Amino acid sequence: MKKTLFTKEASDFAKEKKVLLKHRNNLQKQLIDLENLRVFRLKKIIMEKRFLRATIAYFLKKSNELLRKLTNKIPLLEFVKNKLRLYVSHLNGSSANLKRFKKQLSVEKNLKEKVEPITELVSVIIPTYNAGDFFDLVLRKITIQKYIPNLELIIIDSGSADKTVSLAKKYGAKILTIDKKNFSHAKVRNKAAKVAKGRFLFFTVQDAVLLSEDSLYGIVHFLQQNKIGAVSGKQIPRSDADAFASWQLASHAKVINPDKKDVVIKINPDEFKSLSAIDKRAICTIDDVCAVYDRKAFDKVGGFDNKLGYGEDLDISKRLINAGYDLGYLFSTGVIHSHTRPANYFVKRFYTDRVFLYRVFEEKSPKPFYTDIPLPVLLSSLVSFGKKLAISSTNISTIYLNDFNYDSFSKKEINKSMIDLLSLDFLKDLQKSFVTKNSKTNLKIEQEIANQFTSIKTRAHEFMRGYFSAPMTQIQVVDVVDKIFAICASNMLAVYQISQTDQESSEFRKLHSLLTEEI
Amino acid sequence: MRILFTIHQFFPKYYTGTELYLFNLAKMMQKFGHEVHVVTYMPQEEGNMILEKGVYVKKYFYEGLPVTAFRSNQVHVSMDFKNPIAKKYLKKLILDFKPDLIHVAHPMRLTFAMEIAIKEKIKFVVTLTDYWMICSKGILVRNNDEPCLSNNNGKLCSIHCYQEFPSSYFTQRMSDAKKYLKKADAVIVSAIFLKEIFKKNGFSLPTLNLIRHGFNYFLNYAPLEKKKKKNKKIFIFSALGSLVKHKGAHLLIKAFKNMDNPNARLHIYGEVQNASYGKLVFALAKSDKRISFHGRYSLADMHSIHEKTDVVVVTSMWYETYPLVGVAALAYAIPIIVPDMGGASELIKDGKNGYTFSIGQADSLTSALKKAIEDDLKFTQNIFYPYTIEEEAVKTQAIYQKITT
Repeated sequence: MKKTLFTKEASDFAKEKKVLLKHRNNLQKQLIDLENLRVFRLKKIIMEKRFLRATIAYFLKKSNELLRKLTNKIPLLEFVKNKLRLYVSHLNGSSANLKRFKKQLSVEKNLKEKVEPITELVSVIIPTYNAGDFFDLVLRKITIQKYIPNLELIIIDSGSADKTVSLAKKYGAKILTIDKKNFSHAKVRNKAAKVAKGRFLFFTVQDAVLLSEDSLYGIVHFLQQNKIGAVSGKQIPRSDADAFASWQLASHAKVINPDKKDVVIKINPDEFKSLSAIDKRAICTIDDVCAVYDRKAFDKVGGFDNKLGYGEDLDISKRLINAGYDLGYLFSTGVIHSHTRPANYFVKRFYTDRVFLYRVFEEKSPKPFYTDIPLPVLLSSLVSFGKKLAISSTNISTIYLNDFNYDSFSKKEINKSMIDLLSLDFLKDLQKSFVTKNSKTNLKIEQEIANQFTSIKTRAHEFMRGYFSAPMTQIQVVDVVDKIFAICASNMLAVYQISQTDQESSEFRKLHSLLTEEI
Repeated sequence: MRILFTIHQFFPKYYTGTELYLFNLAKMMQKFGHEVHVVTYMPQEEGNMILEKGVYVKKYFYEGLPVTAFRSNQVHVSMDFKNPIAKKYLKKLILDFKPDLIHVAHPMRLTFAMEIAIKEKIKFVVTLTDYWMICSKGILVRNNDEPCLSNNNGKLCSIHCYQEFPSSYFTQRMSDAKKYLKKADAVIVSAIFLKEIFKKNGFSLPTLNLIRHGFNYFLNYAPLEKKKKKNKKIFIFSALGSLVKHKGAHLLIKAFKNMDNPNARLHIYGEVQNASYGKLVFALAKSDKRISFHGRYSLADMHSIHEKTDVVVVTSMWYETYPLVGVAALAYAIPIIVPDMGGASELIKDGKNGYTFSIGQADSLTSALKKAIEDDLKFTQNIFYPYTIEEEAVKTQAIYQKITT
């Protein structure tokens, strides 16, 4: 029984095996057929491709001369030709045609970049005085500007002794001169603007390098498109800018353009009048380091105010707004421009800025308590606080800015050892001009300076976190501390000056004169 | 913004093109008010490294930039995307720093930064300064010195360069590379050629940006005064860069020797990286007294080198992407001779600010050298390199802002 069963099973198994083998053979046959078919199809494809390739190559070869003649006249044909070549090269699977790829790409790029050039004349105006090594770079960058085929370059020089004028001549500039004694930022620019024939006036300075090859186009185009009176581009710190200079530029940009966008500033003149000086400053964006004016708007408001020795751009911004013009500020482009200057310069610079700000916007100064205190006491208090900073600075070797504490000394140490602070030296000299013997200091004023110092230091540190992720050397920390002190001192002096009812007194005129000299 | 940069090696020990690119960029980002941190791999063992979480770590500051360098002992780290121990450590660094974005200045050795960024949903930017994402050697040159424009999706790598590895290793590598670059929030290249090669190798780069490398005009630079040669007849060619085979110093020497002009001089600046190649190059030059070697140079030497140079020659045997040596020469208004293929040729207009020669061809290079002498610097005055590192940084920052807002 079992045997029969096994025999049956064996027989069934043999049958199944036979069927399976048959299936396998069929499948193999099918596979072979499929493979043959695939090979055939591949061959066919290759043949077709070869045929197509050969046809196109033949066509290209025969029509090459004709195409060359035509493409000189019609650029689109060059693009089509390159597209065809690209296809042939693709069919070939060849990698030897990369030059053609490149050429095709550049043609494609040129077709995409359909920029409408500025057809009207753009006048570039630069006041100069011993412009220095980088003037060549400044001029080069101007002369290679794209999409501005009509550009005139005007230099107004105040008696340079170096190669400034010869360099400008090399780049085809029109040279104007002005006596250094008669120099004022407004006068030189007005004189050059009179000579300029441009529909647009681009005012810049001798050490500002246009950011890219199409920066000027970007600025003029923005003005043209938005039909505005004037527009400024942003200032980008140079690679050698120190932490303080970078912070200053960023702070300035933050005030006038917190959104970091290209903006048109539209404001009604009445609304403008109601704003505070600081808010007005934020709206008056035009800065002659990089500013383009619509000629008509410039002439309509009578150009710059020749009476002003300083801040002519801020003033004209205000007058343009009052005349109903919109202004602009570009975040996307501008000029590379920054200065690494000593702290004593900043005492004067910030004082001048602040005083001018109040004057140009006709705003009454706030009246903090120290404006009623005699000037010698204010100066003595500033000097006293400066000494404390100088003593504190002796205790550091390498620290982070936020670790700097101006009060980390014992009073006995005063006058024992100090680090040189340039702003302190300047204030000491200023103090000597007003008192014959040491005046008393006022602790309340010192506390006020201390508060301002801490507040500005915190803001500076917030920006400079990137810098100060590495501890700085004593020289670096002292430099920043020195300049922050310059800001505090100059702010207080400016508020003090502007709040006095008797500004024409000899004392205040002297103070103002000493603080605005050569700015 | 908090920006974490990764790079395969960094200053002070490593100081060539990509390192300089990152250094300039990171310094500018600090000036724009961003907080930066550089993370790098240390390819060779170095003293003062501390064992931390299975890797050797060194934390230091370089010119105000905070740097974390580390290394693990895992093999193949230079050509591989995988290194679990190093990846774990890098992940910890990234999570501790909490960057708003990661900028991969070179993907080698820390490739997994991209993987971490994708997993942790951190925005990331990749700069391609060579072909390493396609080719483990980075230079698209086969072992037999032939150029390799396409590796056929990695299938040719184990045939022409790495016989000890299976083909699947490289196909997987290519697949990973494509995946990472496709997911990058932005990819930056400095040359159109480089972009083309990636396209040709099947990379889809939807977020690609072309930003030319800038020159640092405001540090260690002053325009050269118009040359007053002591000996007007002497004409000096200079070549700058490491003495490695793919940089082609041997080709230059061969081409220079083919030119029998007794007034021509060849100055070669750079260190020997490979002793046997160094021997070969010195032996080649030995019989010609017009050729001199000047060894290692630094950025501070660039002015004096260019002051003594009439023409700079870049003789790379590979498709150089955008050589900073050529950029520096043009910034000093010195004409350059470069190969006609690769990004280097995008630097010049033939006969206007330099010459091209057929890549790898000594005869063609000799002709270019002769042409330069014949022309006798007649177009030097018109040479100008327009791109600055400030422009490069502003454009890069615009990308950062676009992807993070």
